[in-house]
Amino acid sequence: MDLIAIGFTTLLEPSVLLMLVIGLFAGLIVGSIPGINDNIAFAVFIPFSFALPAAQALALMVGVYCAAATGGAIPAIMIKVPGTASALLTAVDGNAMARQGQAGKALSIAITSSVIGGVVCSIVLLLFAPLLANLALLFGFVETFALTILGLSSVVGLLAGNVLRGLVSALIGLLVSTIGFSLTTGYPRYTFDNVNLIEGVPFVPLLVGLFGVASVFELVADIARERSESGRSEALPRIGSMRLGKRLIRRLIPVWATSITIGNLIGMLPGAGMLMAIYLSYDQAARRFKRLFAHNPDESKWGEGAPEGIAAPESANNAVTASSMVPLLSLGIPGNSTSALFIGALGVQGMVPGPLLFAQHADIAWMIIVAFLVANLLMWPVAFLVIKSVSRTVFAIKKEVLVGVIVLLCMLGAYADGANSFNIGVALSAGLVAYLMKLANIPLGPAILGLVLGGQMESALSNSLSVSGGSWLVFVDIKNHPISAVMIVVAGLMWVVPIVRHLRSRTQEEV
Amino acid sequence: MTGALLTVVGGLASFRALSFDGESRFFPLAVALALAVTGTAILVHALLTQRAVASSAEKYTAVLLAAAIVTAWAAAFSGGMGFVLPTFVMQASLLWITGVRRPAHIAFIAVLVTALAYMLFVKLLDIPMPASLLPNALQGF
Repeated sequence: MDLIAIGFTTLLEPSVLLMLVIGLFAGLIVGSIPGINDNIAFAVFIPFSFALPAAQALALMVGVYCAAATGGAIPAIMIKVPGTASALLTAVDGNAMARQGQAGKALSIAITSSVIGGVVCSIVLLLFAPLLANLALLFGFVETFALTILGLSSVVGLLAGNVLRGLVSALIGLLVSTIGFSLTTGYPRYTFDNVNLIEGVPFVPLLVGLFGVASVFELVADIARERSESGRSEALPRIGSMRLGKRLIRRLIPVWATSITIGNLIGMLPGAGMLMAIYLSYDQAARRFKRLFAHNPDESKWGEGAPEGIAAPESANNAVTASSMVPLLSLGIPGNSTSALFIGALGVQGMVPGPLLFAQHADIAWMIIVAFLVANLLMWPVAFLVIKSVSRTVFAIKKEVLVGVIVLLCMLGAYADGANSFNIGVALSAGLVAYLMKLANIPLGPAILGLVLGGQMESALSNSLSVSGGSWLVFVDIKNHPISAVMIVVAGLMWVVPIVRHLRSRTQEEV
Repeated sequence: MTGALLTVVGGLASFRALSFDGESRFFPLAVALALAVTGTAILVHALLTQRAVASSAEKYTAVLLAAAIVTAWAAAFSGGMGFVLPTFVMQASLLWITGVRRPAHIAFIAVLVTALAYMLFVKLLDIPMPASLLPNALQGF
């Protein structure tokens, strides 16, 4: 309880709270610009945190992180163009409602669902992250290695039908993580006598490149594709009343409960990603709608303005933002790609996520946790202000202008990390590699996890083998290392189950 | 193509790892070999299924041009051409390749973005710029 109070004390300092609110405004505005996803929003704000003290910088980043996902729903509803990938499904029923003259109601459902999802999962974060961190403090080298294997396996194994490419992605990340001095011997590896690589590839420019610069290339490709298609823009719908009736709220409560549970569980799985949570909760909501309301002639059809079609994905996506911080803050394993960027934001302040964060920087760790709760509570009024004031201006920003702005922010952000021109090259190269990976259908998530976990994995492996006299059986020694053995078995299942399922479905198709 | 590239990268990284000292070699060598093997698996799979990939030349040309423009900006910025001129040229060029054709629009947006970025990063955040080869009067720009 004292520690929660410390978190609140740190957060409620006026300058820190102000940064959280600025982050919320910025995240909502940037997130509502079509074409800028939550990763870009986060990547472009990292440079601004260089100049700020830790508490202010991280409060700003929490605000951006929470708000970007919600902001994506605004253009999804108003112009049927999701501002972020997380609002992909919101666009379907949301825009249909807007076209029926109920834009205000649709926006209100989206914001309320986001707030409820975020608040519930912030409480889960508050309860579970410190518990898990305390447990992780008991981990030795053997358990740490098993944990890194489990983290990587969960992200690769969840890519059903794409396990090989997921593995390739993880290996790319692990290989890049070996660049620089060896942690055990100090031997320089893959540095090519470049002093900038002695401590490894600079992490912040690398992340800025992988997310920000790669997205710019995608944006350029999108613009080139759209130019060859004739696009006719429709007038924006009128927003109207944003009040939600009691009956509608009662009707949406079960949808929120299911979607938040799904978002929470999936958010805590490393690498499972927001989209999986959104699709699963949307699917559950669709089944419920068809069972209870589809036969009612007064109701819109599913996909043509059903309130559940907005409530489910929006509550799930904000549930993921908070719950994906559970493995990150407690174990140092990011729950999704945006939370991986949080490692960069912490790194800028000289902090490393994981159990030691709670021991070494308790005020900051608890401030981050309570900031998620407060950010989600403040989201409601801030989102309404943004919708009523600036959202129409934001939609008018052309993608063509965004290309130059984002690339400049990314490049200067990378450069600002130590005022080193080498970092610009890192960000540009990383952006090109990430774009090529996308073209080759190689997912980026496992590579990020490989990058984050590589050093930890190698040093834990080396120390474990040193302690066990070179015996690999130490990792499955149920007597002396039961936690490790269980984690290795679960990791193994994560590989085997999707492959078996894939082979079985192929066999059935052939029959 | 992807499989072949990964095989080559994995192979070269494995070869390089062989020159590391004994204790530093194991992890990068294992990862690089695994990358080469998985790359080969993708290559073999692609050859067996012979799946053609549709591509849009226009799309990739725009991306390649954007990458070239940003690379040129990075070279000019790091090479002592200052901040303002390379940034203005980069913004104008990116607007051009994304289809903006009115010179007045291009000039206005490029000047605005350059000026805002300069104020933010150089004046407000006080980030030191690379050494400049510009004449004295233009130092700092």
